[in-house]
Amino acid sequence: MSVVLRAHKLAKTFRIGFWRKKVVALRDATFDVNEHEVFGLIGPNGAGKTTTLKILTGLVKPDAGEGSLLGQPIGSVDARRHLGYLPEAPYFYEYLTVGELLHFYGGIFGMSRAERQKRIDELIEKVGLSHARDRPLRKFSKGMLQRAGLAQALIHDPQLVILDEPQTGLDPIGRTQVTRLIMELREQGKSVFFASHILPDVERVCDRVAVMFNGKVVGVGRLSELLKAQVLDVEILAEGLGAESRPEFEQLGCSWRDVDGEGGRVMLVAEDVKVGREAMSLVLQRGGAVRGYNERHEHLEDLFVRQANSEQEGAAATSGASGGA
Amino acid sequence: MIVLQKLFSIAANTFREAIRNRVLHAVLLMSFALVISSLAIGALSVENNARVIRDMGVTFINFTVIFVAIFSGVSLLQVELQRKTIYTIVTKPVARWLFIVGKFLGLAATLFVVQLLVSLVFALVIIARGDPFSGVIVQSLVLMFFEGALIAAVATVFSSFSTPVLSGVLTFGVFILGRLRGALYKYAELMKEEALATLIKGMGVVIPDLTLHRADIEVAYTIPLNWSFVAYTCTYSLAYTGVCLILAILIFSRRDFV
Ligand SMILES: Nc1ncnc2c1ncn2[C@@H]1O[C@H](COP(=O)(O)OP(=O)(O)OP(=O)(O)O)[C@@H](O)[C@H]1O
Ligand SMILES: [Mg+2]
Repeated sequence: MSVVLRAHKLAKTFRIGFWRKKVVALRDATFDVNEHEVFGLIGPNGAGKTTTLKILTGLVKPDAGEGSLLGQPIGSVDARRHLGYLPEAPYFYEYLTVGELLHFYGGIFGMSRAERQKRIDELIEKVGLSHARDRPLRKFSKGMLQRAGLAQALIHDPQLVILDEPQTGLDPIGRTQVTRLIMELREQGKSVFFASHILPDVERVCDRVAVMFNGKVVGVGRLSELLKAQVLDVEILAEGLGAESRPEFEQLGCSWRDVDGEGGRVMLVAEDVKVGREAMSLVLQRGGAVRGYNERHEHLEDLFVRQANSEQEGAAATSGASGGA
Repeated sequence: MIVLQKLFSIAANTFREAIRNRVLHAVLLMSFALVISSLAIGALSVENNARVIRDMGVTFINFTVIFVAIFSGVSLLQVELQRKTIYTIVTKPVARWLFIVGKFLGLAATLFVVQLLVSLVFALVIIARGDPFSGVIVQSLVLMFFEGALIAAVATVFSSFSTPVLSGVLTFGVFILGRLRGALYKYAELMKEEALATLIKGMGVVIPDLTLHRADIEVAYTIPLNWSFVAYTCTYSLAYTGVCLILAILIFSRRDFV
């Protein structure tokens, strides 16, 4: 399996304003994307996803680290030959129609007019812009621009596609279309690398992900590996328990929450499966009934939260020792 | 070959954007109106009104070209940066030099078409009056075009690192100094203050000599210019334009696009 995208210890500090104040955008982005893979870069707002993508596509020069696209060093013209890129919230030449825009981009790749025309008809259809073909882009909505952006990224049938938040700004139909498009690309043997914080979309299409926090990639792997395999906790929905049995449950290691006010249903959350079993039998012993039982596994959201917490702890532990990287 | 196609695509796109821009339409209408109005003003003048009309017509064309050169030059790169349209171009297999040269060629084409249109109106005015459309007018139009391209290149350099407004002011400053260069030189020769004189002369090295491009008197009195002088001036401004573009490329290649 060959590597189509490599990021090794990429770092970037921006300088802003008159005093050239430092803003650390990226500390360490390290990961590889393999051929035929859909790879997601996830992380909260400001984590450094867009900065990573800009460095890989040559828009921004890294302060440190190196990377390659399809075996060519980033920043070189060759690296971008078989690359398709959708920027975050893309914007285009507003006096052009989407057809003219795509003709222009096709020309940049040296495609012949006939070749372009065929490809453009296909793409406009695929991204669902057939109805707006002859409208200038200045009259496009945000989601329509996003679709035009996807079309331009695919104009030359690239081997590697890098997308910055491809689902943002799209309606549910659009999001499904994008998801399907990404899967289609993988079936055609392409590699897709995209940044997102719409976690369900990521869970649906990605083979692997890199999780980024605070400018640092803190985990890379299959989602099933990154997500803790064991049960997080057990939720038991019980009915018919009196408030007097509450301390007993709390002693067991269960939290107690009244769901429909006092005396109604109760949500018990046990910290593990064993406690959950014990709590269930206790419910029955106290004359209650179990209405629901749910073992919760970790989702991407939980991974986010877990990482954010450990980052904070880490920061608290090291603050004072060093003034940052 | 593919390099040429890329250059052509970028230039053609720049040209198309420019000629669909409403501001350009307004400027064109305005200069048509000015050139035609010179007919009326010429009729009012007491003496030789053919001369006045020639003089005014050429001046208006010059205004238009310089205005479009500065206006389009300062926004050439800035609009791409602000609207982030540059993200989708420099992430394709397009080197930064190619991007700048392509953009500049598109701008030069725009300038050419603008000047051609206004000049056609001017020619119609002259021919309608039965005045001769003499060779010196053509010569002066050629000089004007190269001056416009040079100013556009200066604007491109400024706009590769500063805001459109500041670039506009700076470019206009270069234009004025360029026009006054000869006078400033003479002034410096006469000056007692050594340091200031050196400063002015030093500035003269970087400021383009735009006095070469002025042919108002020759146009007014129909004194033909020497073609070798025209050729020299064009070569000079082409070289200056080239240096500006190289500078713009050097600055632009270092930039992060954020
Ligand atoms: N041009 C810039 N100048 C200064 N700081 C910047 C610049 N671009 C990004 N940053 C900073 O770098 C950090 C990372 O930003 P980046 O845009 O990469 O985040 P992101 O993960 O893409 O976030 P989002 O999910 O909101 O798109 C942020 O703290 C941001 O403020
Ligand atoms: Mg982002």
